[in-house]
Amino acid sequence: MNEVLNIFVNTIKDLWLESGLYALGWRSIVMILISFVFIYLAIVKKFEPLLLLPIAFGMFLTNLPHAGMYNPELFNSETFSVGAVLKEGGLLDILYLGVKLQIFPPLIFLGIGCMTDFGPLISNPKSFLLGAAAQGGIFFTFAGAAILGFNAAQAGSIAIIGGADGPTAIYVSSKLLTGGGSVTTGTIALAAYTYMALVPIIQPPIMRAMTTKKERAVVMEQLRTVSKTEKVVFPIAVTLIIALLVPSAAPLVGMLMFGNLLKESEVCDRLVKTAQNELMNIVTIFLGVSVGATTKAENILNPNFAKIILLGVIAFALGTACGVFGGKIMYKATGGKVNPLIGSAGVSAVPMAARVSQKVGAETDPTNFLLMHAMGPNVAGVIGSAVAAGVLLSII
Amino acid sequence: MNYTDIISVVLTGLVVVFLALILLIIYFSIQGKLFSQKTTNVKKNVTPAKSKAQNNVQAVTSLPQVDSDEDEVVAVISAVIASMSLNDGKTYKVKSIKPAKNISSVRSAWAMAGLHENTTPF
Repeated sequence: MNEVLNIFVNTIKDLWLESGLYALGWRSIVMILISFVFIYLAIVKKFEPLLLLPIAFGMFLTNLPHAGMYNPELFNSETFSVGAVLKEGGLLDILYLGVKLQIFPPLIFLGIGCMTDFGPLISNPKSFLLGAAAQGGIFFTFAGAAILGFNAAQAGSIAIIGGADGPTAIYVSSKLLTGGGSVTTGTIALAAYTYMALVPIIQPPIMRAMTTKKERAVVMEQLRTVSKTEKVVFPIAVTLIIALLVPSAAPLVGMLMFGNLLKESEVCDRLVKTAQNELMNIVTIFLGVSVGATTKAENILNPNFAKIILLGVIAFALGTACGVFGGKIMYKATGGKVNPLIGSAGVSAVPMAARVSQKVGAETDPTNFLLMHAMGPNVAGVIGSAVAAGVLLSII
Repeated sequence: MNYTDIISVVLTGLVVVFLALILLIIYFSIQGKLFSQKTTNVKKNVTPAKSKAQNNVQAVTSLPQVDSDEDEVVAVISAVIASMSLNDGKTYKVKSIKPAKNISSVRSAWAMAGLHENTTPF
């Protein structure tokens, strides 16, 4: 009887020692609570829920002690090997390979390409200038991060938050941050998506402060109709020009434009539907949950994360300000034909940034429709941020 | 990183991004002009035939004049309101009908409706 009792007690003891409850430290508790906050923001406040919810749940899973779903040591060392991850890794390790090997972000871009209408940009190519101006936020933030003591790879990863483009931020950070450390792809993605959701709050005060009422009231000329041939030529020409000039931007720009070509060709309906829906949704789930898994307590609960959050909002604000400044230059150059508010849409975040331009413009004149005009710089911003990403990858 | 490296990254980055997008502007501006010319030429070729056809139509019959009687306008508006009241079960009383001020000096009501339709998906 005593022997049975001993076995029972030892088994219970072993179970307790192996349980997550035994290993649950204050760091894990704080991280789990933070993940609950993000889950709340995604579900109740609807902050980019399609990505923030998987990211937040990935954060929750990775911080459960002894679950072993994500093992950062498999990715941090210089001896990273796909075979080792497949053999020894947990579920989230295997899913994270899609991020580490830069597969998921270009696939997301393929879906975005299938959903994007570049018509407003083709009919007003000068919008590219606003898309380029808004990328100023990325490079000025790079300078700020470097001055604050981050190394080049970390500064580049933080700066790309200013592009307001989640897949691009994940793509750049997963490629640059190879040696571990306190800045991870997860922390970058978390900051990027949180700020993207906050675009309607961050941008309007900057836009109002930088423009006069007269500038905000400018009604722009109707855009010309774009032919189908122009729309079909667009993705091919953009890929050719960008990939030849900045080859490292080719995976992102190439897939974005491939998706757009599928859409505009009007002969691949089944592929377009798959890329827009099933493929995009599957990749979004894998990307979100595996990126969320990189947010281990040691990466978040340190002063560097606070710096990333601060620099992230600065990057967004600078990007918006640079875009509006570009819009003001175009306003002057065209003799008041361009509403400077559309410049802020150059920070990507499609179509939210364009909606913000429309909303702020409508505050001054409710009959003024800036949305289609703002879509030009908005989609130019996607191309611009992909080019900026390529430049950062090339230089760093 | 020293300041020289930082400044060179910022400068190179901005110059390359602007250069890439300016190249795209040049290309698509030229392409746009070519396509606009093509469209204008097509329109020019089509216009005489169209006006000829219109003349023929006018020779045969003249269009009926639209009666812009105010009572008719009131009747149309009242009918729409009556239809609304059937849907929501409320009774409405029309006290006055005034022509709306031209709130948009730029676009007509049809242009506004078209814009609404085109921008709704966003």
